[in-house]
Amino acid sequence: MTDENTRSARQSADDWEELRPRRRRTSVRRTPVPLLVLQDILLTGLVLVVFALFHHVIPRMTADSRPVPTPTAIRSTDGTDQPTTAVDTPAVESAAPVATPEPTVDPMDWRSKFADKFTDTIVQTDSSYTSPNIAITIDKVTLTDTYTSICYVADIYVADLNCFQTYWANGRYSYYGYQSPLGLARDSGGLLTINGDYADNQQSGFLVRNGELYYSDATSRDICVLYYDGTMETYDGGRYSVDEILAREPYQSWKFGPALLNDDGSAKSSFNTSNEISWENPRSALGYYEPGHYCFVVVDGRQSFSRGLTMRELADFFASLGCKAAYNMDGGASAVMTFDQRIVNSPSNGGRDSGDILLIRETGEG
Amino acid sequence: MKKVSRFLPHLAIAMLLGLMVITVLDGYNPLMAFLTSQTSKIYIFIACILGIVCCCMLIARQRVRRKRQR
Repeated sequence: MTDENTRSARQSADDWEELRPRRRRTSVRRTPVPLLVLQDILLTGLVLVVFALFHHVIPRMTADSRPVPTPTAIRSTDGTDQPTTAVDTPAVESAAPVATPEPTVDPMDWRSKFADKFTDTIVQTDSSYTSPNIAITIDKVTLTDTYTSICYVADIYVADLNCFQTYWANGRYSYYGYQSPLGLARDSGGLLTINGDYADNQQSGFLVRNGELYYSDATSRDICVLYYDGTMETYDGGRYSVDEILAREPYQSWKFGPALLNDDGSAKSSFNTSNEISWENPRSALGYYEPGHYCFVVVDGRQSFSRGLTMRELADFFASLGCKAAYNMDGGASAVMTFDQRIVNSPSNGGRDSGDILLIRETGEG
Repeated sequence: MKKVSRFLPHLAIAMLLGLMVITVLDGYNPLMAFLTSQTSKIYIFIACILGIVCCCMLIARQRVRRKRQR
């Protein structure tokens, strides 16, 4: 009996010894779950801040000191063909485009072709401009399907391709260079401008501006090319040859996208972009009818009076305009059209600075 | 060493949550190159390494626990 009592007492003491350290350990080390979750969320925020610092902030701060590619003229200034080579790696620091090349296409062809559009003298109103070289008409179109979306369509005829140019912020290509829409319009001398394709934050892709080649990489993104002969074509990502495009002498190219129309001018049903970009948004886009005849379209969005267009709706709109090719530019708050040094549309959040613009301007000829 | 091994899973969770955020942002603005820039590639690589280290630690602990049970 005594042995049994002693044994059971020892057993209970052993059990207690076995349990005691565990109890102590758990009571000291266990952190409440909500606190753990909060710690992890805060740590996630810290990680994202560090990521943003290295991904965005430092590159912007050091953008001026980074080398930019030396642009290669697609054509020499006397109009003769010049062999083009790929500019894969940036080589020289802060090289800016030297001079705007002179397109050699005979401007008289377009001048006579669109003679009824041009005027001998400059005639300008709040929404139109005609001269011997340029004819612009800006129309405000209200689309009311389920929602209301306000579009501004600038119908453009040029007698000379040199009237259709692009311009980098601060006058030169640089990483993360930005300028206000009106500042860009003022400095470029652009009569009519829309924002460009945000090309200055990517150091790759296929990039030609004003006849100068900056990058010649094929990527998976759709591109748009305006050739010296005035034709404009869009190419599906990964389905184009850079060499073939260069052989046809490109004058401008854009790489935001996506392309909006099929080869027959009908609206595409699927787009080479993310769903988020395809949703209704403020839009900025370029359309092409025929050599010398183009259109700029800007759509207001994210506002009570104008919802913005989905990519499909934008494609349908261009198809209804009768365009043969159309290409989406940077949208959202960037979507801004200026005419005669004033903003035409109502940009979302008041608009924002852009890295480049498309512009129509007088060439000083004719 | 114990402190580091305790902190690593939390860092892995934070980095992978961050990767989810970056993936969503990339959908909204692909031209910002949230997933394709050099910084992003390094970030993803580190997240992968962390994930592998945490998994290895977990497997090692499980093996030790099983040994003790036997």
